[in-house]
Order: sequence, then C-alpha cells, then structure tokens
Amino acid sequence: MRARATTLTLRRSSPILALVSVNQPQENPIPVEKGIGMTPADNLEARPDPSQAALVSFGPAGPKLLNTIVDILNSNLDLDALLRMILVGLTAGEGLRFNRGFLLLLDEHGHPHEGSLAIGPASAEEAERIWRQLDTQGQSIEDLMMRCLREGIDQSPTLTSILRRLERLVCGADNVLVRSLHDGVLLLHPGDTRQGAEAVARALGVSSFAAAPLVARGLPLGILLADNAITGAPITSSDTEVLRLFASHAAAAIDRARLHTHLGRERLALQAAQKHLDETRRRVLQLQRLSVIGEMAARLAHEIRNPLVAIGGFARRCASVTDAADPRRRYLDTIVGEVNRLEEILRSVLEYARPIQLRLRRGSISDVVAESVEQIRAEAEEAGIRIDLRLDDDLPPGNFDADLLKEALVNLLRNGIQAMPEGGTLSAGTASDHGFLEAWITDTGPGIPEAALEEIFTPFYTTKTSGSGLGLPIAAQILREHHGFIRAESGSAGGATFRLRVPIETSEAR
Amino acid sequence: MSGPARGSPAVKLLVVEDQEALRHLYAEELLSEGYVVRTAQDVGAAEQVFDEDPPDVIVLDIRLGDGRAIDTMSRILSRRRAPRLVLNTAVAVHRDDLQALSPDAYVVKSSDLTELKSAVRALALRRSSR
Repeated sequence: MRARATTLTLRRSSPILALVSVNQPQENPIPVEKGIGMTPADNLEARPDPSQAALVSFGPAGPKLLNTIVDILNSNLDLDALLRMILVGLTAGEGLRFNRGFLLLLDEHGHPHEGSLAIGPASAEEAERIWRQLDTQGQSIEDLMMRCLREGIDQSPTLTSILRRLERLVCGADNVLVRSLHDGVLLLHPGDTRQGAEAVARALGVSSFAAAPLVARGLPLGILLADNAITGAPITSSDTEVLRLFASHAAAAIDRARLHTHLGRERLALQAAQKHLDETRRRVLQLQRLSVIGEMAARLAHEIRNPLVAIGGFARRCASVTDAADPRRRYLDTIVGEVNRLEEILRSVLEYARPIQLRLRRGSISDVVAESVEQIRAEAEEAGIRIDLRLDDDLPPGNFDADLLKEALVNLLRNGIQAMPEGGTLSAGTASDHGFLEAWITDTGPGIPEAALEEIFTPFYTTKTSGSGLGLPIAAQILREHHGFIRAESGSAGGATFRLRVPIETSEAR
Repeated sequence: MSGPARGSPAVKLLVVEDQEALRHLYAEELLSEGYVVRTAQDVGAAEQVFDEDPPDVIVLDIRLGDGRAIDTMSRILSRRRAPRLVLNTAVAVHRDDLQALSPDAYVVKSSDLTELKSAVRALALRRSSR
C-alpha cells in the first residue's frame, strides 16, 4: 500500500505550537531544506535553547511533566488524535521542545503505513509568528494536547514532501532509520558515515537529527524523528534520552489505541454475526414450528374440507329449492354462510402450510400492483371505496414470482377494504428505495394500534371478526421467500400503510 | 339451465372422487346442469368406466394417493379421444406433482360449485365444437 502522509498544522486561532497554519498561507514559503543552516533570526532569541529546555522540563520538574504527557497519551484511544498528540508532545514548549517532529508509521513488515504525520513550521518567519502567539496565549501542555482531539489536519506541502522522502528511504533495505528499530534511539551528527544517514539528513534538510523507534510488544510500529531545523540548536544526549523514554510510552499508547480500534471492529463484527445468528435461529425455530403446525393443519384441513364441501354443497341445493319466505331458507342460508367462512379459513391454512416454490420471472412491479388492484376494484367500488393508483413507471424491472406477489397484494388490498366499512380511499403505488423495489398500499381506515404492528403478521392474530387470520402472515411469508419483507405503518391520524419490498439486487441476480 | 345447449348430444362427464358424499353432490349438481354423469371412487373404476363409454370431461379430485394412480390417469388421458380434464384441488397456486396430467382447468374445491360448473361448461363447449 502506498503510504499517505499528512502534515499537521493548525487552523486559525489554534495556537498549539510551532505549526504551519495553512489558513495564513505564507508568501514565498522557505523550503525547510534551504532554511537549514540559517542563522536563527534575532527575534527568535526569546525561545530558549531546546536542549536546555529539555533539561529544564525534565530536570527537577521533569518527571511530573513527562508523566502528564504520558497520562494524556494513555487516556486517549482515538488513534488519529493520539498521533497528533505525540507530535505536539514532541515539539511543545512544555514538551520535548524540538522544532519539528515526524512520525513514520510502519506496517508489520516494516514498510510505510498510511497515516504518517509531521509537525513544524516551514520557515523562520512562520516559527517566530507562531511561537510569539503561543507565548501570549500561554496554554498549558494539557490544553494543547487535548486540542488534538478536535483539531483537523491540513496539508503542508513542504513537510508532506519530506515525509514522502523519508518513507522512500525506509523502504530501502538497510539504513540508519531501519536499523534504529533494532538498535534503539539514534542521534545523528554531521559527518556520520552510517549507511543512509546522510540521505536522511538531506531529506530533512538538517545536519543533526534524532530518531527513536516506536516499538511495542517487540513489533515495530514506526519511527519518531525530531530536529531543530529552525533554531539550529544542537541535540544533546540528554534530549535523545528523553526522546527514547517518550517514544517508548508513545509506542505503547499507539499499540493500545490500535488494539482498541481492532477490538472495536471485532466487537462490531461479532455483534453483527451474533445478530445474524439470532435471526437465523429464530427463523429456523419458526420454520420448525411452522412445519409441525403446518403439517398438522394441512392434514386436519384436508380431513375437514371434504365433509364441509358436502355439508355446504347440499345446504346450497336445499336452499335453491326452498322458497325465500320459508323460515327454513334462513337456516339453510346460515349453514351456507358459516360453511363458507370455515372453507375460507381452511383455504388459508392450506396456503400457509404449503411449501412455496418461487417461479421467478423478469417483470414490472408496477404491472403486478395494477393487476392486483384490478382484481379487487369491483369489491372496492361496491364498498364505496375510491381507488387511487400511483405507479412509478420508471422503476427497474425485477425478478419475482408475479402470481405470489399478486396474492400478497390482493390479501393486503382486501384487508384495506375491510378496514373501511364506511368507505374511504385505498391508495396503491410503487417506488424504489435503498436497493428495494416497493409496492405500497394505504387505506383511510382507523389504522393499526402501535402494539399490534408486529403481531399482525403472526398466524391467527386478527382484530377482525371475519377472515382467517392468515392473510397477512401469508403475505409476509411470500415476501420472506423473495428475501424481502413487509412493513406495516400506522398514521397518527389513522390509516394504515403496508410496504412490500423485494431487493433489487437479489431480484436481478436470480 | 346453464348446461349444454338444448338439442346437442349430451356431454358425458366422469367424476372421480373417493368421498361418497361428494360423488353424490357432484353427480346431482352436474345432472341438473344437463350432463350425463357417471362417477368412480378411484382411478381403477375410472378406467373401467372409460373402457365402457369414454367420457368427454373428467372431474378429478387430486388426492389420488400413490404414483400408480397418476400413471393410470396418464394412461387414460393418453388414449384416443382423450377426455378433457378438470382438477378439483385444495390450494390455488403451483401444483407441480399434477403437471404431468396437463389438466385443462384447475378448480379450488369448494361447497360453492359455481366455479366447477363453469369450468366444466367451458370444456364441454370446446368438446362439442370439435
């Protein structure tokens, strides 16, 4: 993977420390490599010598301050913010006080890894302005580091190009930087003849720099480089000792943050897998239950159906030869009516219990809705119900079993008609949403109680006095077979909406 | 009367149904529609009826039991002057096992025989127009 380097700079009025602010672009920015060796401007004198500062910071009061920095690093598990904090700690006035810091991230093979960062002013003028600003504001190291949690990252071309060069050097088989991963902290002075030393110094544009390996649990995580490119102050062995200490804490914090991120991802994946497993288990249990119930119900329904057909059939024959005024005619009509109702229940049970075999064909969901509506139009008109059809003709075609979808839609449309005994409007339409083709049906009936919205798809749950209690479960079963679903919604002012969705990609893939 | 047209030779029906009460019901209803109706309680009896006097239309209940019954029905249906076939079934959609019989019509079994009668009528008309 090609490494991507980012350079941390501050946004306007965010004076972390010696950073480049891209919101205050420099005119004629001085490339760092050219800036090296410059005599620090007089107005930089206010800034103490970095090596002395390190001694001061980590001398008598030192451990406390290092502890503070380490505590902040350890308390943060956001990897990106942590990397910024490390660089702030490396360069802050109350920190290690280097002019610039570079954090090269490495993968497990020691190759540059995405996310490398750099911090530091691009020129003496830039440094002067920012350091002066920081002095005036007098923010503590805690404040500066905590700002990293919310500060954004801007690109500074100069530091980015240095990072890129350093990454290329690290890719080389053998050089001082790679070796520092094993040998520990590296302090390079002018005239160092170790392999690659000169190239690193040239990339940084300095004659001296310090590098410390970021190693945790024996694994190289990266390399921390620091220099004093602006002030040209020498780097002492005391500086490198503090750098070594700091780098070991920083590596532990990076390792912890990475583990945390990794664990977070694992946890999410585990949660998703668990959810999937629960859903599958629920489905298997339901299928087992349905298969037992279904088998029983089908057997029972078959056994009951024939005598029922005979009872109803002969009652009809009797009724047809009985005078309408004869009181026996009323008895016969009652028998016929009740037999009809029982037959309707049996038919639903048999339909629900049957194994569904999908016959997928390419087709238009709008056509299916239109045909379903035609099938119930007469019933609706008889019940004083107006039909409002809103089909989207630009939908992609789907692959579905049109007969079964129509069966589900007709079930729901009849449901809508029955929900409006006083008449009303039955609307039906089509749409596509988030990878699904949708057929929807809305009535202007009383709506569905919130608590019943899930239950209505359970077999034999019904709030109606007529019907089998299987119309909605059958519809839901049909949609499930299509890897789709039905959702019921109830409007606050009454009215129920059913959305039947089949996935576009599934329907296209089949 | 909504059965076959007056004056034309009576259309002959064969009802294959294992339930006696239903055979009785279908026979009465279809007789009153003007057809000549014979009944059989299984496919063996149906084959016998077919040998004696081939019907024009067979009304068949789907519960034929084993595969032999379907074989026998297929044999009957593949004869010369094969009758039209109405399947009286329990469920409206997808009857794969009976596809082999290539029925001319499906009717969902019901105490309301209107659907069955209109299916028979449609097939009888096609029969007499041959």
